[in-house]
Amino acid sequence: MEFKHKRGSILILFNKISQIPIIILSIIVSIVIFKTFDFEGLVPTLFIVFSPLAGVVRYFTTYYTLEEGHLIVETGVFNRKRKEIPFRVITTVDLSQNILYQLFNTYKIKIDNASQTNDTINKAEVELALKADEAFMFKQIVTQNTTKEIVFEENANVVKVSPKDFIKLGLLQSKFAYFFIIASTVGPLVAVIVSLVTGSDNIEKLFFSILSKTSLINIIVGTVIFLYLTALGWSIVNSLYTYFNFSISANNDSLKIEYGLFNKKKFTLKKSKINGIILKQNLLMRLFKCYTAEILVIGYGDNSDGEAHEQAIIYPIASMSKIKSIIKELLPEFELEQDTSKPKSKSLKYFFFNFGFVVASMILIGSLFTKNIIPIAIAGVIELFAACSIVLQYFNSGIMSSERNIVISFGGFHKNIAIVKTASVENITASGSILKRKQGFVSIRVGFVAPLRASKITALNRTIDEFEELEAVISR
Amino acid sequence: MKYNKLDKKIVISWRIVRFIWLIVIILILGVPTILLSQEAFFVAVSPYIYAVEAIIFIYMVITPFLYPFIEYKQWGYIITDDRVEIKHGIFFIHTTIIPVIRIQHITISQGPIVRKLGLSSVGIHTASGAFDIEGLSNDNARAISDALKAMLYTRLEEKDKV
Repeated sequence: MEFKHKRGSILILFNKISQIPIIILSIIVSIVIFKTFDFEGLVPTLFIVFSPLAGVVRYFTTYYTLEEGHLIVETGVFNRKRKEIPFRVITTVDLSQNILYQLFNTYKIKIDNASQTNDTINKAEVELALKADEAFMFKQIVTQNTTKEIVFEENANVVKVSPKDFIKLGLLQSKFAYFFIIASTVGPLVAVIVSLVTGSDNIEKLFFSILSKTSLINIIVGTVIFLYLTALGWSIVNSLYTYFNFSISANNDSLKIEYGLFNKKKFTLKKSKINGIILKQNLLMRLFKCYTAEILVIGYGDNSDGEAHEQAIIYPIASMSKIKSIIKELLPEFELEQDTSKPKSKSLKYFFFNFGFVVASMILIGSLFTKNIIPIAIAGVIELFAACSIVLQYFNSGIMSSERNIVISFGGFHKNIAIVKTASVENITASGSILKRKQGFVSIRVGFVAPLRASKITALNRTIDEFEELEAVISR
Repeated sequence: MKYNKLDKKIVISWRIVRFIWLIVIILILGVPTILLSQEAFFVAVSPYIYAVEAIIFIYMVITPFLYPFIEYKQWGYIITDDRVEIKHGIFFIHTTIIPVIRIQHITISQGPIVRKLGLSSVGIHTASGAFDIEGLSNDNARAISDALKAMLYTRLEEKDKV
């Protein structure tokens, strides 16, 4: 296929199309319910409708060419730029379709390489839209499979994730974000409903009438329970919707991940470009001994679609033994060879030299001067949480280094186990006060090739011997 | 292995930078203090404010004399065929090891103060972060940069052969 000086489909301008119905709906609601029309309310809609203007200019001035071994991107109006990306540095070439794309049988192609900077941390290196046939051919050429598409034979390892697992993920994953979004929406919504029912803004009267029947504590507890249950429902629905029909298949050198209900996504990742796996466990998951497994690879798990951050999931939720067997099946090079070593008991005191714990202690000391039980109790609870987090950090800290992989376990209430390819490690740093070093302890930070948000991990308060062992491993 | 030391003139640069910070802090604290000194609410808490400002001022006056001296003593670097090791810090010491083969690119830079002193910094960039060896004489910085580039190419050629 010849691909020279092409712009691709104009549909690439409508990435944020999904936001428009929500804003139009909110304007209709404000007109119908409040019987007013607020011109200011139109601003976000106009902004979203016309925000592609810059994109329109970019679209008509950007051309893509595929040459032998290179993708060439030419862009700019007055200041023309030419970017040549060798195929061999490309980490991911992904195809996705939102509803609009599905209607026109078009795919969005997202290309990433390892040259991420702080400015491009959550953006794709190259994005364009092409008709289905052209998109598949484009992908084959860029991934240097010019004769045929990467074949995932019938006997290739395929792992399908059942909806039950996503319900479990929705139940157990952190719901803080959902909780706060709902909390900020419920207030105005209640005001709207009250004004709709009573015909005037009687929200204060309603509140005091409820308060006369029950206590303030009951109202607060009831509201928190309501918000939590709503967040829980939303979390489950979102997990099911986002990761609908999730499946992973692997052959010798590639991993294929497919999911999505309305916004179908298909990622093909070269195993050689995957730098690590991270197993995540929040406090709720710890109670059920479950982990979420994500991969560390540039181009999967960013938010380049303009949507909320998606996790780079390879398995949503499972026990450690199941996760181990999935890793063995799909990515045997990341198989956990041995357990991480636990921190020395002497190092426990260094975990308490922690900014959060010091601040919590200062708040507690300050509260004692007030001689009022409420601030003292609140400060005591904060101190207790900080102390629990420190103790958990101590128990979670672990490290293991081998010629193949480096495994670092870290985190407090949220435990993480990172399995990183030793060949991907770019630098290691040992940090510690003079006194701590004299006692033979340092904190070890490992920097490696990965999306910038995850490219540095730290094992707290480990022995200097472990650092030297790591140094020997990466210098080989 | 013994660490290489930085050029001693870097101590002058660190002192100048700390004195500039001292002036900035004096302005930030001093100007509002003078402007508000006659206000009733300020007079009520002024002893505490003066005490805090005095502590900050004494600390900031001492540091240009003390810290550059300690910092110079702690700073060191080693460059071998296969890795770069950088050690620095005042109370918290950081030791960083970068395998030569992982270096993405090398930069030489100069700020206005170090330029006057005839010094440069060598920046060693990897995909996950950058590390500087500062306070090198211009010639030494160029020599280190050239040596690192040569080592990197040699290691890459060796890797390609394998």
